[in-house]
Amino acid sequence: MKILIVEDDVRTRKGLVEILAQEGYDTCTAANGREALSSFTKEKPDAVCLDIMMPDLSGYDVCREIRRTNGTVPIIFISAKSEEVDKVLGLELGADDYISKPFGVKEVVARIRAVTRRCLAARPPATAPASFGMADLKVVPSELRVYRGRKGIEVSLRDMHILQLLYDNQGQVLDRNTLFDKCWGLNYMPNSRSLDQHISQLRKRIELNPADPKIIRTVHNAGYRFEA
Amino acid sequence: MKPKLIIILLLLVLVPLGLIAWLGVKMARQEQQQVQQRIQQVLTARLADLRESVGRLVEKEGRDFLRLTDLATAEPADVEAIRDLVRGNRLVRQIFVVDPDKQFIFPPRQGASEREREALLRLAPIWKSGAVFHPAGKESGTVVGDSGWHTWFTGEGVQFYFWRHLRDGRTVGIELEDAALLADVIALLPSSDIPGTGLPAGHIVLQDARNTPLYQWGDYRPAVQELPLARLPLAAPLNAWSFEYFAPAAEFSRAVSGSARFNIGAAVGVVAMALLGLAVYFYRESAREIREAARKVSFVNQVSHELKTPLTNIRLYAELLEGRLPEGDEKTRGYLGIVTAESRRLSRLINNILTFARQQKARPTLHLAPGLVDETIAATLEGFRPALEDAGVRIVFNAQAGRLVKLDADALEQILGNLISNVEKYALGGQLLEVTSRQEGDRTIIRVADRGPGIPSGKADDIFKPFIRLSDRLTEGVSGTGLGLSIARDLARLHGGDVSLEPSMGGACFQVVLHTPAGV
Repeated sequence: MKILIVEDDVRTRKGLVEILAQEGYDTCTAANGREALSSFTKEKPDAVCLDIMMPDLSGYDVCREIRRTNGTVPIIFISAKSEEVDKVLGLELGADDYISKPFGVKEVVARIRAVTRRCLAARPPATAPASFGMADLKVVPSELRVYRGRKGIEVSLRDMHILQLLYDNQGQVLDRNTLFDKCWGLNYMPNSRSLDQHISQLRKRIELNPADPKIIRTVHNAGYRFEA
Repeated sequence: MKPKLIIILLLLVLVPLGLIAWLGVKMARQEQQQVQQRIQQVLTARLADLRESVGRLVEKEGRDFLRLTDLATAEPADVEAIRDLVRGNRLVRQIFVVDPDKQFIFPPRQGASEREREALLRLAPIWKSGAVFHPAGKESGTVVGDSGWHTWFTGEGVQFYFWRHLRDGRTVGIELEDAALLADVIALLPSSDIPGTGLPAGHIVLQDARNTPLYQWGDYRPAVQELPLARLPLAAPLNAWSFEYFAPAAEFSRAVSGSARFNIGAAVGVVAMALLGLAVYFYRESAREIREAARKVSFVNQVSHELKTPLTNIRLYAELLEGRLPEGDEKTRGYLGIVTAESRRLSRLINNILTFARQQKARPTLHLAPGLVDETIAATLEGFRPALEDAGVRIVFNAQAGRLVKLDADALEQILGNLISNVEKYALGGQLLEVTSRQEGDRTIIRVADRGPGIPSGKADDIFKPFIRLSDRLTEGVSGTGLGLSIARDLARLHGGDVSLEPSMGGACFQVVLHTPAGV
């Protein structure tokens, strides 16, 4: 899933790329309104994070232009303008959400996940099952959630990719390169430490006892494996 | 411009204008009445002059008739001499002499001429009615010694009689030739408007008891059914006749009132213009102040926006870095926690300044949505937890507001943020933050208590005023704008409640009350 980040402040833009990449999204960026429209046509993103106050063409203008040709792509305004009228105007123009600066990582992640769920729910049913079981977990990809009994646990898009890959290859050991290629993308070059950290964080959320994992098992010097 | 200010401005202008207009109308009406009275007076005075002239004529004729009756008093009556008197005086239609027994001596019963017999027939009803000349003469008000006038209404009109009582009891009377009398009266009256009076052309009518015009003059032509501006009956014995004065009312009003109405209008106009000028001045002054305030708000917004961008990056990268920390590096994690907490504090300060600036521009509005009060409290506490716990403050949250209600979660978070921020600034030494929530009907009550130094007595009201910070050691070395509690109270009041400082055994205890109806 690809997200276009439109932000004139380079540091904020890079920070957002970092957050979304960690979550498992592909990203493309634009530093102003005209670049944004060009990237939107060229990259065909699944969602857009859009700053409002930009030189040349404002976020409102970009939103209006995108909505002329595409009425469904989710648009999230991210702006320092936090007055009620700004939010109302943004939502009136067809935006799906509004994040006020300064924002925290968790807030951005939560809103992006919400948008992703709506996107996934709106997609035509795939051949893959709507949910699958992993040990005592029920995994629902379209909701970006896993369920233990009635308790729902939110996971990121990347987490979901990892779980899906392990489930599809259950019983087999997936080495780190395969996991990188399939779940991080070829353009992303994390080190093995960050992969292990990510798995560790994921275990904390989905394993009953992260110290003795039953869903994502480590195969020493080889990789990770899920066994039904 | 605020609607309230516009209303006040309009009231300040419209009320006096309305009052002046009302007074103006009232004065104009009074003036109109006075003008009418003045017209009446002027015209009545004109008619009174005419009446006086006619009165003098009647008096003169009365004196002439006295002399005439002297000649008719021979004893026994000299019939021929009396007949000569009748024939020799054009005003005399008939003379009659009556004895004390009310028997006619003249005209004689025997040998009366045709004319004299007709006179007797005309006089018969007077005698039959008992309205003899004395004391009826008093009715006319023109008794001259033992003489006077008598009027008698007949089918042909009014008949005038002059009478005189003699010492021997006889009565001598003269029946007047009314046409001759009218001719004498008309001869006295003018034939056209009198020039030089300064009054517009009029039309004066002398009319009889049946309102039949006897004589009229003047250049003005009244319309049919037009009412006279003045009416005056003539003095006795002609009091059955009257003068009526017709004239163009508008021209007369102008002529009589002069410039009074114009002066009233001009005065009202001048006052109205002055008021309008004053209103325009105040409006422009007010508009200028509003523009100034808008500029300030715009400046604050711009500055806040410029502050928010670097603040976003500080918080964003601090959190990203925290996410990359290896397990066990708690010291670095602590440092990053401080950076994150400080950036949040700075966010609160900026939001407070923005909220205050917007309050100066317009009353903020709430966005009520179903939500859980305890959830918002817990989220707010979580934001403060790292900094407070690092400082050794124990956080106790006694959550009893779990019912779904309608609330503005952002407003509540800002209220609580400002209260807890004060704990962070002033009451860390108390080592305790206790938050209690409960719901009573449509109200949610939240208490935020600490064990810090508390608020000095007598300052309970001051602390809620904007930019007021306590000047004792409590605030020394502590940053802040002095807006937190003021904004917290404003937001709570906007939410149908209040923030108050409650009595406490130690430390400060703030109570937040919000109107929170059921959420579904």
